[in-house]
Amino acid sequence: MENLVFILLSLLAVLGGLGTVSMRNPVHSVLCLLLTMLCLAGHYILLQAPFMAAVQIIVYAGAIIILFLFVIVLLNLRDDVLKRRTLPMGRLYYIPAGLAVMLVLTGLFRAGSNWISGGPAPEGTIEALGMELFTKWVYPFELTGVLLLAAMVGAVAMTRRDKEEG
Amino acid sequence: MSDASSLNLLSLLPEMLVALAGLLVILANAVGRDSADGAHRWISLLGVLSALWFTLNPLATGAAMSGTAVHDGLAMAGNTVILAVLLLLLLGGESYLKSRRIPLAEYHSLSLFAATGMMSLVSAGDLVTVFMGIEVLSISLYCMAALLNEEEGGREAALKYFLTGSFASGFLLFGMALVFGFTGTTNLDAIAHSLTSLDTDNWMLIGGALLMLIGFLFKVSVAPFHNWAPDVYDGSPAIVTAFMSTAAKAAAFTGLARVFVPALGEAADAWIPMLALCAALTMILGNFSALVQDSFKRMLAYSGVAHAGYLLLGILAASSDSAHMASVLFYLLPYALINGVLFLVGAAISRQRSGKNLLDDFKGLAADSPLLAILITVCLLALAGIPPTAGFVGKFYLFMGAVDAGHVGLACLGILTSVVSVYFYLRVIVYAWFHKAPAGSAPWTPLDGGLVLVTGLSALLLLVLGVWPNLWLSITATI
Repeated sequence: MENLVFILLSLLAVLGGLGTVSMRNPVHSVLCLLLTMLCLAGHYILLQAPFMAAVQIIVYAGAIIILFLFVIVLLNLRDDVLKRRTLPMGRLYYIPAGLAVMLVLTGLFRAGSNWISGGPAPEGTIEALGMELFTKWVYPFELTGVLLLAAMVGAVAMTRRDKEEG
Repeated sequence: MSDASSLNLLSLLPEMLVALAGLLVILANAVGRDSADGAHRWISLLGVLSALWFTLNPLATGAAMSGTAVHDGLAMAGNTVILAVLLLLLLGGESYLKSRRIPLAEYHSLSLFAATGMMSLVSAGDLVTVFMGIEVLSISLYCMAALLNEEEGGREAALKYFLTGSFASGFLLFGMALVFGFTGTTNLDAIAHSLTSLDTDNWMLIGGALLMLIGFLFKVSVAPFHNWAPDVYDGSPAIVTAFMSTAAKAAAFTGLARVFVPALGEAADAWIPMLALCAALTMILGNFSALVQDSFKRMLAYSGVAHAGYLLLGILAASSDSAHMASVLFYLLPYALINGVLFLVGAAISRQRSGKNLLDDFKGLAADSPLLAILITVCLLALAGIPPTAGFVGKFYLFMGAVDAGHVGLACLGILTSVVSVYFYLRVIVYAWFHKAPAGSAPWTPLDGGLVLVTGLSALLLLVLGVWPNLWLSITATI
């Protein structure tokens, strides 16, 4: 059963990845990316890391994908550009997306019921993750702080200069 | 020394000082606004100098942070090279930063953060730290490459760098995942230990090692993964090019050595043929492409590609006898200093002439500024590997190591391509000494004192190390 779910999720994830780079309509591209992200969340559940799965859905599917969609909407692509590039049989693509959502949800429920039943805390819980992150992996974790700060400084530097010139 | 489980925070002092300086630069900018322009430089200088002091006189060494960082001789030598380049750019780059109106706070903080990433890569004890170090240095450098946008192509270079860099990171990460899957650990020592008892003839290990190698070869711009380098080096601000072609390359090479020589050494049969092939291709392509360049910056970029090939010879030698690692580390210092100086001086000279970094800009340099011409000549001769400079000693050790390890053909190829390279280095020297400045060129204005000073110091160091190589070799050989 687990192997079957793994193969299904992996196939869907790869399909989503392929779709992300091959779709001509950016909105479809982002939706394909969403599919990949959801499948990854499913993989985390299979690996007994429900917390990671939840974070994956909230951060990637919830925040980042929405941000992408906002940017695309703000870019304001003209209708005729989009119309020419719509997919053949566009509705068919709802099937894999729905399948992915279903798999992830079933996984979440199953994992959730295991949790509540009070078995031994699996490695992927928040406690276990926090302990690992702030003891063994504290150095790489702090480095991510430097990474984010550097990216932020860079982003500010690039956009602020544009404003001055414009 | 301490055991792997302890924090051993003091050994991380150099990294922490550099990161702290980066934070202080941002803070100074927020508090002082425009009046803080000088402060950025002084804070950076203070941070780099103190980090350099504690690198050379460490308060603690050995494994730190549960084994995710290791401060050994390799880390010490790598950190020294990185900090020396930062110091060079801080002392000699002021006039360049001002003349191109590069935002000072952003430049200084990003360069310090990039250095933090490089230093953590150099002292990484775990694949996770290796990856984080590479990402911190790469992201900072992508942003730095985009700091200049008055010139055409500045943003294009940054975007190209970003895309190829992310691509390389993908390879690296996938390779790491496969190696983790095979050995069950990401700790470099533990990987080396587990490979002694496992069968190394496994597709997962070989695939992982090769994917990681491709990722690293992208980062150090080795053929056939070097195509991005000339465009990016050409399109970025000269001071950023000076930084990425020296410190970043030194860090990536040390990281490559750290991952492959000790950790994946047991699986050497899998990656040595590919490394040898890439080294040969790099030496040939790099040197012959540099021959036909009209732009000084592009010529240096291709010469940098060629030098990556020479350094690979050292890694190949180290894979059979780790004592040869010293020759890689030895060569990194003169290589980094020369390129750091040449990119900066080349930009300053070109600004007085065509402004397009052409080789022709060097014509008549000796008549205008004999001192500068002498210094540049020393640097170029060292890059060509002519005695009595450190460049000669460095290449000698690299080629000797390759012969010792049984790669005689590669060593011969290295020597032959070095002979080819003498042509394009000498071309600049001949232009400087035996050609007249083009008619109608503006009168010469002396270069910034700090730039001449670091050029002079670097040239002096090249000569001193050429005669007494043990000064630096004694540090690099303590691994």
